[in-house]
Amino acid sequence: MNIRLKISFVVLLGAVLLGGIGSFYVWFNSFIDKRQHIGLSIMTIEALERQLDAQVLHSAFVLYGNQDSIIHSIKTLQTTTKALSDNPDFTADYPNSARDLERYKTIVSIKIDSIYRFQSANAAIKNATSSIPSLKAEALRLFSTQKSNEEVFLLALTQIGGGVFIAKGGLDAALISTLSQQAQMLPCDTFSTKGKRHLCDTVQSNLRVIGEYFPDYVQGIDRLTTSGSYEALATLRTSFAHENETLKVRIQGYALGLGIFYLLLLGLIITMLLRSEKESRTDRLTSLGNRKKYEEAIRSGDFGSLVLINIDRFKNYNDFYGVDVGDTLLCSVSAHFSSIVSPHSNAISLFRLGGDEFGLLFKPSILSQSNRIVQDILHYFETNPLCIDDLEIFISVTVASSEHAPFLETADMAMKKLKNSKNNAFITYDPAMNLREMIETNLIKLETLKDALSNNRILPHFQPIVSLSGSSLPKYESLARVLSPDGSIESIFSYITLLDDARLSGVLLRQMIEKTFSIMEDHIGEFSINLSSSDLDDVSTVNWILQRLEASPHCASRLIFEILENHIIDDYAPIERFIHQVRPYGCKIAIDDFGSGYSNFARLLNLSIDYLKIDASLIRPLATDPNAHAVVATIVAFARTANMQTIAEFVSDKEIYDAVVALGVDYSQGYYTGKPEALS
Amino acid sequence: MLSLKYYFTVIMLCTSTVGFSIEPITPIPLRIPYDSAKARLGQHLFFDPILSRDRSVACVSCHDFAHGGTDSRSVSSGVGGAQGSMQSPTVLNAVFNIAQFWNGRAATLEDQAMGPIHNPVEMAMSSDEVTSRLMHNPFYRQEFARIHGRSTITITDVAEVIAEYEKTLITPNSPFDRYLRHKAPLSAAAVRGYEFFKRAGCASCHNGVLVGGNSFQKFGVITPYPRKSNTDDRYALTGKERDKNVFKVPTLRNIAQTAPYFHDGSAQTLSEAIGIMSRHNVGIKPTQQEEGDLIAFLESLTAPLPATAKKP
Repeated sequence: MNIRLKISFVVLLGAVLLGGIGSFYVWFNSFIDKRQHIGLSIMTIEALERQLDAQVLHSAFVLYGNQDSIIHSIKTLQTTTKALSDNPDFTADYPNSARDLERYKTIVSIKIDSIYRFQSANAAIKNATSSIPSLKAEALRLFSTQKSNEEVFLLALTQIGGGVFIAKGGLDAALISTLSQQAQMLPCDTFSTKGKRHLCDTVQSNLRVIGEYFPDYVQGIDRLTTSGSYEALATLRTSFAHENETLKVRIQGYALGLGIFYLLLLGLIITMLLRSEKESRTDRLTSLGNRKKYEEAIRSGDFGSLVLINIDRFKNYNDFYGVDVGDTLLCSVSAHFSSIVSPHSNAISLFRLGGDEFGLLFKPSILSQSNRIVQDILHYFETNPLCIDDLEIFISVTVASSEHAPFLETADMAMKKLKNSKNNAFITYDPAMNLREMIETNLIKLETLKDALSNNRILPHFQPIVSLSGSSLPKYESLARVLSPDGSIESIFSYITLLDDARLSGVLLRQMIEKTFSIMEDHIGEFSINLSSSDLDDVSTVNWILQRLEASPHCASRLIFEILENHIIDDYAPIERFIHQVRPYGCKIAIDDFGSGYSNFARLLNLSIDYLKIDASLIRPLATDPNAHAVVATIVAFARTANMQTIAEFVSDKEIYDAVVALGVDYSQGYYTGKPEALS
Repeated sequence: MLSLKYYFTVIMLCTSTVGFSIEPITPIPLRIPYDSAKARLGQHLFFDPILSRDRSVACVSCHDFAHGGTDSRSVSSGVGGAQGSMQSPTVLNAVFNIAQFWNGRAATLEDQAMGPIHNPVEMAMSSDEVTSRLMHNPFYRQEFARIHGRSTITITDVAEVIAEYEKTLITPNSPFDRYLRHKAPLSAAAVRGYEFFKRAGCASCHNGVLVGGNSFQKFGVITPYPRKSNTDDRYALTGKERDKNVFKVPTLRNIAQTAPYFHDGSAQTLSEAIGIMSRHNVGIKPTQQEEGDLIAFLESLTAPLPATAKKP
């Protein structure tokens, strides 16, 4: 998974978590609001009903009161109850409470009906009751105690009047019923006048009304406490509390879920961090530890030595077979390393430290075996090809080991030294090699060289090349000298490797050509200038040379380029092209250091060369070594056949000079025939 | 905020029990809240015969402000001269009623407003006919759209504006209310009449802001009152024997202007009405003096009409 995908994933989960927290927050808030709202509604309902009870009792108590408040309370109670039962939050989240509320509504509506009936009864009974005293006053005016039936009436009216007040106060329906019956038995028909009969009828009517309405009156008051509405409300409250508890558990569950999700997310991020930490220490291709892991191992562990293994010319495999094969090759190599060191896997750690460089870190305990293991490795690759797809590839490795900290640096220096010397596959770092001092010296030299190049302190010295046939113009090889600020003059020789490494050879070449040309203006003869094959790979240098030749045709025609094969030439095309390009200016071509090991005879035939400069390694032992003698003879014969002339280098004494002359070499160059000197 | 509002309500409700008025009658509030835009539109509809099938009657036809918001006929007549069975109750102060109609069959003003519109002997219109007719009327279409921001008109919208208009029809400044508010003295006769009103037991049923309208009572408690079979009493709703001739106690506000009286319009004058009530429901016979005082009191309940009680 790439990092962008990982980040998106974590961000997505984070967003989900945030959404979860947000929705929880909203839900929780709304839960609290709803709960409060509903709880208060229930409280309000109870308060309203108690208020209604008080108002009903009040209206029973006062003879003429304002009943608007009763109606107002009933309406408010009904609206509040309806609002709650229509509240979707209530019915959805509190189904049991909602059911209880419906039950309460039914009970309360019965109670309200009975209150309406109570109102009717109350008014009728009040009026009937309060008319009794005035009827009694009227009776006392009309009736006489002298007549027995009238006396009975007066007595009965008094008893009934008193009884009604007692019964009303005691809510005694039975007594009212008795009194009502007693009134109906009054002997109204026996009275003599219409006024008396009417009075008696009115008493009977009032008592009938009282008797008729009293049950509603009693029931109305009784229902206030016995309707069961308060019990229903209590049940509702219990259900509500219970359901709140259930909701609370759900909220806790949700919060817990969010918490767990949070921890999981945290765990995931930590896992991914750890993994990417681990990945950052692991080479993806070979799964070996990488440079970072190596550095950590060095910091934390105790190790005795590092063995660096470099695959020789790995770049060539990559270029030739392609990167895929190159990768497979690396894997295969790493697998072989692993299997070779596997018996000691607890004491040897294997790393891939660079593109084609592996490292084996040895613990002190196994130090004694390190040489044997290195030999095993070298031997394995010398004798076994790597099989990659259908290819069998033999590779070689260069090994540098060091027991001196810092391991990597010392082993690396040893490796460089080994690569430069090219004559061995294994080196062990030894402080006596002075590698570090060499590096420091190199750095100082590089500074000196740069300084000389930029301050016009490169001087050409000219060494004569003497014709042994005696009949030709003088020739000189132009050799670069470095003028130190203190006035001493140094050969360029010790700077040669630096020139290539620091990519300064082109600069030096230009200065040498310029200065040689200016000398040539005043001198006759041919002048040769050194040119390395790598200079010819640089198009800008070649173009500069061509322009310079164009500008000074009389110098160009006397110029010899000494081409040095300083490395294996894979591609001769740039050299061929250069030769073709400079020929029109009259330039000649020499091959420098011919016979030093690189040169390819067959290729040279195609290059139309003018001179072969025979390498010093063949000339120096000429007087003593018959083999060298034979080789030089062969070269001379070959050159003659190919119509080339030969130049012997390093002719340092008479013996060599004589041998050279005897072999028929065309020119001699060396201290015996002339030292390099400045020309004015 | 929510909780505060609720606690406040609870506290108000609890304390209001202590605040019972000493007097059984309370003055009409000087103003109550209403939506003026809706009320104005309701006023148009109230006077517009567009709501009746043959465009012959409007609300105002039977709730005539010249007669205290009632019909001067014993029973009202609707489309095509059809006769109803009940005397039309007043539209004035109707907002304070326990419920609407003589038997309280409509809980709200909105419900009431639909009654006469649908009643075959009154306006005889279906809901669809009402809304379609109004939507084809440019004025109403525009006015309703202005209120609701939509092009359709529902029957609920119609009921709502009429109800809103009725909230404007309150009569708070009768001499008696001004007396209760200690704003103006009352005639001695009226004061005596009020005392008799309480003493005789009238106030047992006629109390509150409407001097009635807050309970259901039987017509003919003491002496039974004959019942017509087509009477819309509580019995017509409940089917219970005891509810025969039980009606919502009518308001006595502006009573001097709303003759004829009772659900059947059987009494033409206040004196007649007092006589019938005394006999059937109170069981007394007031003296001439008492009756005169009572009428003086009842006349003190007549208030000036509200500004909206006229054609817009």
